[in-house]
Amino acid sequence: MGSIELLNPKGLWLLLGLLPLVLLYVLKVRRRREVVASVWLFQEARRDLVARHPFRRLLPETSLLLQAIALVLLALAFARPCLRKDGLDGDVLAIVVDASASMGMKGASPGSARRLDLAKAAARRAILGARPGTRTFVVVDAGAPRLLGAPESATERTLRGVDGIEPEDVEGNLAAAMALATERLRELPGKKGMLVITDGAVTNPALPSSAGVDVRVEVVGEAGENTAIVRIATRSRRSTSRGADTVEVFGVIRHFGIGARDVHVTVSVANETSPRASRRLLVEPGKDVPVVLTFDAGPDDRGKPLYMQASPHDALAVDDVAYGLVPKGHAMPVTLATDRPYSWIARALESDDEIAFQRLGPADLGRVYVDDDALVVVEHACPSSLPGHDVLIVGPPPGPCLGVEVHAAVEVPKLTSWDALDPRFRFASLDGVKLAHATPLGDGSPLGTLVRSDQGAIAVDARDGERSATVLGFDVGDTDWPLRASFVIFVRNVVELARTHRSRGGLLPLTTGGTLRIPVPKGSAEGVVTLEGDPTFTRTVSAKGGFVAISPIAHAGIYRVSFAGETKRTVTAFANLTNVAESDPFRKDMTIDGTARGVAESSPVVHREWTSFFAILGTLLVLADVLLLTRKRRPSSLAKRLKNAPETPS
Amino acid sequence: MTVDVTTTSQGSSAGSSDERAPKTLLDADFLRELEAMRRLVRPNARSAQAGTHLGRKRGGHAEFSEHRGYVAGDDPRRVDWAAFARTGAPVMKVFRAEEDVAVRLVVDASASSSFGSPSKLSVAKRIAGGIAYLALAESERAVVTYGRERLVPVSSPVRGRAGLVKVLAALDTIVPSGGTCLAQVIDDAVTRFRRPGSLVVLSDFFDAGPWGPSIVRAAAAGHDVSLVQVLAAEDVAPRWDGDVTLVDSETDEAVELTFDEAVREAYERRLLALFRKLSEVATRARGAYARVIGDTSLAATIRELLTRKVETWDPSSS
Repeated sequence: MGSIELLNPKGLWLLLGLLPLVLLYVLKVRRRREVVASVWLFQEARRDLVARHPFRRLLPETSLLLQAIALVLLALAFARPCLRKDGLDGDVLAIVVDASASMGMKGASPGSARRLDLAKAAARRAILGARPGTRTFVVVDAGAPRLLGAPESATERTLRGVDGIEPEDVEGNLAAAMALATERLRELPGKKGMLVITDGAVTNPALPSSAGVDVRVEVVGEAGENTAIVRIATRSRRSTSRGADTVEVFGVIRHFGIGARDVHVTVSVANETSPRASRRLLVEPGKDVPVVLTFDAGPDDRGKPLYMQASPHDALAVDDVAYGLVPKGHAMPVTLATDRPYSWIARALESDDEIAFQRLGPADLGRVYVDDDALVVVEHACPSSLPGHDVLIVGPPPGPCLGVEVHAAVEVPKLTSWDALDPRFRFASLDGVKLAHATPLGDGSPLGTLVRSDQGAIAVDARDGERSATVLGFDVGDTDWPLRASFVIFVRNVVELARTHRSRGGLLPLTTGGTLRIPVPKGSAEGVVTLEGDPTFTRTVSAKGGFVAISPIAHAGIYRVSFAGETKRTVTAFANLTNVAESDPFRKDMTIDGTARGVAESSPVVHREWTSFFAILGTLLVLADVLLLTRKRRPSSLAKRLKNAPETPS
Repeated sequence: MTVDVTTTSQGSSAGSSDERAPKTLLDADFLRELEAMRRLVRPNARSAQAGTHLGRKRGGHAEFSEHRGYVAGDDPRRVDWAAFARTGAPVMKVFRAEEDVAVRLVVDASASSSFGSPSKLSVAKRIAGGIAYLALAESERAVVTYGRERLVPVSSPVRGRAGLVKVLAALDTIVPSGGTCLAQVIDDAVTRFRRPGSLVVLSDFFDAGPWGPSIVRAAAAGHDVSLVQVLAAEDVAPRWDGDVTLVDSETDEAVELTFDEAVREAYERRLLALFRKLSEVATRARGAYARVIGDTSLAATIRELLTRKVETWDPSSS
C-alpha cells in the first residue's frame, strides 16, 4: 500500500525551463568558422564516424542532454517526490478532518500553506494510499461534526469531498467528530481504522480511543505567531458633549508568540472608513492585555455595528477582528407602572442618575409610548401584555402572571434562602429581612426560584425568551427590606441586567458555531427569515418558545436578520470567534486514551523522500556539464606518437 | 659556404602565419648539416647522359666497381685478363657509370600550403633548397617547379654551385594560391621531363585525387621518386573544440562538425591512412618517403630521402 507522490507539485513548474533551454540550442547558430588547409580528411572522418557510431545522430548535443536531464532531476527534487506508506490499514477507513478556525492559519515561513490545505493533502494521501477496495468516508469537524458522503471505495467522490472542505470560524470538537465517525464505523463490517487530522489547536488534546477501531492522529501545520482579540464588550456612559454618549469598547488582546509585538488596535463603526478610536499596544506573549477604546456616539450611531481590529494581520485573520454594537445610549429607560402614590421602588429608581425614569398608571401601559428596550416595573398588577424589554413585577394579584401561578397571600412568611449567585442578588443580602405578607409563586419547583420562604417561593425568575422577568410575590412596602441597603442594590442590579440586555440588542452573545436565536413575538408559529452576512439566505423557519433559531453560524461577522411572520422584526446580530484555543498557534500534545501512541507529526510514515537523491544527481550532472564545457582538451595522441611533432598552437 | 637568400612574404591565406619563418632558406647551420650529408648523395635514376656523377647502374666505362664471374653473353672486352691468368677462371671487371642526373623539384604551391607556422610552403621551400644545394654541389642539374592544378616551371635547369642562387631565387617567387591536383602535376612532370631523373615532390598530399598511380607511372618512366610530406602542427592535431564550420581554403567547401574526442580520433585514423597510402606508394615506386611536421628536423628529412628510406606509416613503429 505504497504510493509515490509529490509533496510540492509546484516544483514541476521548473520543467518549463526546458523550453527556453531547447530554444537556445535550436537558435544557437553561431558555429565558429575555421578556414583549414583541406576539409578532405574531415569529411572522411565524419563519414567514418557516422558509419561506426550511428547513435551519434541521436546525441548531437551532449551538453544539451546533460542540462535537460539535470533540469528534470532538479524539478523532481523541488517537487519533493516521496514513497509513502501510511500505517493505517483497514476495510473501512474514517478520516476526521479538523476544519475549525485555527486550520485557516498559515505557517511562519513565507509561502507556507494553510493548515487545512496540509490536512487535505494528508487526507488525500490516506485515501489514495488505502488498499484497493477499502471504503473510506470523511467526517469534518467544524464545531458540529459533519459527514461527507457515505463510505465508499470509489475514491474520486471522496477526494472531491475533501477538496471542498474549507475552514470555519468555529471552535473544533474532535471528540464529537470522532464519536460520529465511530458510530458510522460500527455500522460497517470489517477491520476499521480512523485517521484524525488536526493542527493540535484544540481545547482538549486528550482524544478518546474507540473499541475495535485503530485510531491514528496526524498533526499538521507549523507554529506561527498570532495575536487575537479574545474578548470584547461595549457600554456607554454619559458624555460631556451634549446629546452624545461616550461609548467604551473593552477588549482583551492576547499574543501567542515568542517575543513581544506592537499591535495597533482600532475601533470603527460599520460603513465608516476612519476608525473612531485607536491605540498602540505592546503585547507580551501569553499575557492578556486589556484595552478600552472610547469614542463619542451620537443618536444616529446607536445600535450600529462596530468592530475592533488588531493590526497588522498575522497567521489567523478571523481573530484579528471582533464585532459588537454601539450601545443605545447611556440612560437606561425605566418605566414604573403603579397606582400607589408612594413607591419604594420609585424612590430607589429615582436615585439613579443613569436611568431615564418614566412613571405611569397601570392603565397607561397600553396607551403611552414605552421604549422597546425599557425596563418595565409593574406594582400590584400583572398585565397580559407588557411593552419594553425586561420586566419586574412586584406584588402581583393571585392568578397567572407571566406564566407563573400566583397563589393566595400568606401571613408572615419566613425567608429561608435566596439565590446569591443570581446577578440580581449580587452583593445583596436578605438576611434578617422580615415580611408581613407574601404570595407564594409557582408550583414549588426549585427551577427559577430566586427567594424561598417557609411558605414556598416568593420571588421567581419568569424569563420569557430573551426577556428577563422577575416576579416578587410580596409588596416591598410590607417588608423592612427598603430600609436596608440591599434593597437599593437589588434594584440597581435589576436595572444593570436590563442595561446589559439592552446593550446587545436583546440578543444573547453569540460565538461562532453557535445558534443565532432571534426573539419573535409570542404566538408566532413560523416566518421567513432573511439572513444577511456570511452566509446570506432566505428560508422559512418555525418559531418555538418565542424564538427562531438559525444554526450554526459558521463565520464571525455582523448579521442582519429579518423575520417576517405575523409581525415583522429586524435585528442586528454579531458573532465572534474569541476563542483562546483556536487562536493559539502552538499545538498541544495530543494523546489517544492518555498516551501519545498513534500520534504523529505531519506525514506519519514517509518511507523515503527522494529529494536529496534527485538534487545530488542533478547537481552532479550540472558539474559534469561544467567540466565538459571547461575541460582542457586532451593532447592529440597522434601528435604525441609522431616524432618531432611540435605543439599545436592554440 | 653560406648562401643567404632573403625570403619574401609567403602567401596571405587565412591559415598563414609566418612569424616563425626563417629569414633565409639556407642558413649556416642548415648548410653545415647539408655538407655533412653530401657523401650520401647517390641518385637512383638513370639519365642516359654521361656525367660526373657515379650512377648506381653498373657497367659503362668510368670507374671500377668490382669483379664478378663471367656469364654467357658478357662483353669479352670487359674480361680482366690478368685476373684470368692468376686464377684460371674468367672474371669480368665491372665499372660504375658516371651519369648526369637532373633533380626536379616539384613544390606544392596550392593555397593549402600557406597554413602552418611557419607555413608548409616555406618549409617545403627550405627542404627543396637543401636538396638543390646537395645536387648542385655534386654537379648535378636542378630544376624548380611548382604545382597547383598543373605543373609550372619557374627556373631553367642549372648546374653547379653557381646555380644555387638562381634556384633559391626561383623558390622565393613561389606563392601559395589556387587548388591542388597532384595527379595532374606529377603527370605533367613525367611528360615534361622525359629524361629520367630524380623527382622530388613536396606537398601535404591533402588531395583526394588519384595521385598514387601517377607516382607509380613516374617511377615506371625511370624517375627516382621522393615524396616529402610537409604538414603543419594543426594538421596532425586539430585545435578546435565544440561546434565549428570548417571551410576548405582551396574549394570553399564547408563541413560542419562538433569537435570532440570521437571526431578527433576519427580524423587521426584518416590521417594515419594517408600516411600508410604514401608509404605504400613510395614502396611500390621504389622511391623514398619522408614526413616533416612544422619546421623541425629538416636535415633529418633530407637525410632520409638520401638514404632512400621509406617513412613508416605507423608512427609508433618508427
